[in-house]
This record gives sequence, C-alpha cells and structure tokens, in this order.
Amino acid sequence: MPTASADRGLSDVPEETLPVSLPDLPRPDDESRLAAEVKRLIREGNLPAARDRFSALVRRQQRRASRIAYHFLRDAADADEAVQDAFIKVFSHIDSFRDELPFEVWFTRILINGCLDRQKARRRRARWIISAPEAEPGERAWAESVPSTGPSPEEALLLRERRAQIASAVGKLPERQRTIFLLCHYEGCSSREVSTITGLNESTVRVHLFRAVRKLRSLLGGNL
Amino acid sequence: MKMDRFHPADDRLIAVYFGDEEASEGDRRTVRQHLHGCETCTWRYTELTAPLERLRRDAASEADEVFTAARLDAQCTKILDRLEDRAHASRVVPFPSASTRLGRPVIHRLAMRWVAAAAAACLLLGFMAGRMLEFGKMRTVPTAPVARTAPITPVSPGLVSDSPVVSDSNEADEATINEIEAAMQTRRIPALAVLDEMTPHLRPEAVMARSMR
Ligand SMILES: [Zn+2]
Repeated sequence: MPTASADRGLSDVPEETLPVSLPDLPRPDDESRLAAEVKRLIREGNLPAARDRFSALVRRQQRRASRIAYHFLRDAADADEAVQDAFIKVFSHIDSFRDELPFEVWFTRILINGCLDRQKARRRRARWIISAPEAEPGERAWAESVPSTGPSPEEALLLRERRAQIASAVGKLPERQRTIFLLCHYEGCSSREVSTITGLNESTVRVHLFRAVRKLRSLLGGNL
Repeated sequence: MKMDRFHPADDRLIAVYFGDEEASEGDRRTVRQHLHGCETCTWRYTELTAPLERLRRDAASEADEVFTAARLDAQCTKILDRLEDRAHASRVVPFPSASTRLGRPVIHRLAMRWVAAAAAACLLLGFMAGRMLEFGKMRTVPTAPVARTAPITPVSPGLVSDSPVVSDSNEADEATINEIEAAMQTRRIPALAVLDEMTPHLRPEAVMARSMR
C-alpha cells in the first residue's frame, strides 16, 4: 500500500527530511567515520585537513557513485559531472550529515536526486531539440550511449547489442521502478536502505522491485 | 505430492534472491528448505535469477570500462579543485553579501537590461539618422528614371564583384543579422525561455563581445 511518502517524487525529498524512526541500518562504517571527521574539521575551521580527509572519502565512494550515475544517465560526461556535483554538495552540506545514519545512504540520496534532476533537464531539452517518434527521449539516451568495447569486433558488436537492449528495457521502466531496480540490483542495496534513500516505504520498494523485474523479463525475453 | 501444493511463486523466489527482509526468517527458511528438496523449484530459481546475476555483472563491468582508474583519478582531482576554488572565492570576495544573494542570474539579468536599453537607444538613433539622410536625399536628388529604364543585363550566378545582386544580398544578410541581434538583446520572451536555457553560453558571450566593442 503506497503511503503519503511513497507518492512523493524522489527529487522532492529533501536530503535532511528522513523518516522519523530510523531503521536499524548497519552502524558506523569507515565512510561514516570519515564523514564525521570532515564535519568536525570544518566546524573547527581546519579546511585544509577537512579537504584532505574528504579526498579519502571521495576515493572510497567514487567508483560506486560513478556506476550509479552512469546507469542512471547513460552518458559518461554527464555521470562524471553528476558525481562531482554530489560530492561538492556533500562537502558544502556536511553539517547536516547525521552521524547515526550511514554516510553511503545519505550520499546516495544526494547523488540520485542530482541524477534525476539531470534526466528531467535532458528530457526538457530533448523535447525542444528534436522529436523522437521511436522512443521517449530518456530511452533514446539510454539506448544509444553504449560504449563500444570487447575483445573482437563480433563479440564487441554482440555485447553492444545486448547492452543496448538492456539499457533500452531498463530505460522503459517508470522512473521509480528504475531507481529501485538500479539500487537494489546493480548496487546490492537492501530494500530497507533503498527505503531510506528514496523516502518510500519498504513494502513499496519491494513492490516496485518485483514489478521492475517482471517488466524487464517481459521486455527482454530470452535476454534476461 | 505434499510438496507440490507449496511450490513458492516466482515473486517469493525472487524475494529470496534479493534477500527480502520483510519475510520472516521462518518463511525464508521454509522457501530455502523447499528449494533444497524440490528440483522443479531449484530449476525455476536458477532460471529466474541467473540472468539477473548476469545482468548485474554486465552492468558493473560496463560502467567500470567507462570509469577507468585514470578517469576516477581525474574526477577526484576535479572535485578537490572545485572545493579549492570555492574556498578561494569565499576568501577573496568576503564582502558582497548582497551580490551573493543576487547570484549570477540576477546580475546577468540586470546586465541584460542595460544592454537591451543601450541597444534600443542605438536602434532609435540609427533609425532617426537614416530617416534624416533619406529626407536629405529626397530634397537634393530628384528621382532617377534612368535607373528604372536601364536595360537589365543578365548576371551570371558566379559573379562576386560589386554587382547589385550581391549588394542586395549583403543588405538582406545585414538586415537578418540586425534582426537576430535585436532579438538577442531584447528581454527574455517567455515562449523562448526554454531556447535560452538550451544556449546558456551563447547569449551572454554574444552580449559580452558586443559590449566590449
Ligand atoms: Zn517446488
């Protein structure tokens, strides 16, 4: 049953507004400790040390962040910028980071909101630039920006085709299903973590995840 | 067979795969135990989850191919540079709290208003000067019927000398450019706001270039 919070758009959820009762999420990990340290150093006015510790935090999270942003945006440059913006935002708002919450969850929330904003802006631009009768603008971007890699040209072609099919299918999922699928499946987040990241309740997260999997199976058939 | 009545549905199998936390430990154990004992469901579980697993691996390697170690290094450097720039900016410009609140877009809008006003004044002056010249010509030079009756000589398409055709086209081009420039200098028209957003750098740069002339 969707709740009031379940009906909110993900981008509308402010980072600071979290469920009143925090779920039992795994407790202080290295990233959270680093974030708390950065927060303390900034409060003490020791910016060089804060930036130094922050760089360690960036190093620990950037690969995961880049994967998430890339799967959302399907464009390397766009994803790169989204990750940078998210880290800059984190540093600027580190004061609102609550020590009792895992840093990863807080950061992912900021990153995803940024990615969704970028997607919206891209769709808005695409509406003006060109009409795409064969697919939604977002889907086009998903399907077309598949990097070409692979050991042999034939294998590369097959891989590219498969990736394009998957990207197109994932791109066809409604925004909420796609977000949940990417977080749960690609990033291995639990439904509890995704609930905290998105502001949706856990059962809603699960419902969307199952719907996403079902839809992908029907879209991809033998390819999934 | 007793077991057949309890074949878990696909969603429950997928829930096990995703480590569904809502299902009670007992329920999960029941499904897992069932999977160990039921070949049909084990086969179904593999059929459902193996492609998902492959999808996950593919997705990770695809992103990692794009975000190589070198790219991640560059990304980290850019983040730290941007933080450094922000810190530097806040040290160098500590005073104008008002302009900070206004932010660039507002300043830009104010500048645009100035440019628009100046452009309007220039256009008005130009128009008046043109009318005065025309008026002067009309008084001193009588109409030239010669020009009208002059034989029309065909102009080859390749001609680029000072033929009247080229001159007309230059004038037409100039008029078009003037129209475009005038349009760019006018205040934002709501219907074109989206187009303005699409070309965020073009407008300010064009205006800057003009104002520097
Ligand atoms: Zn069974």
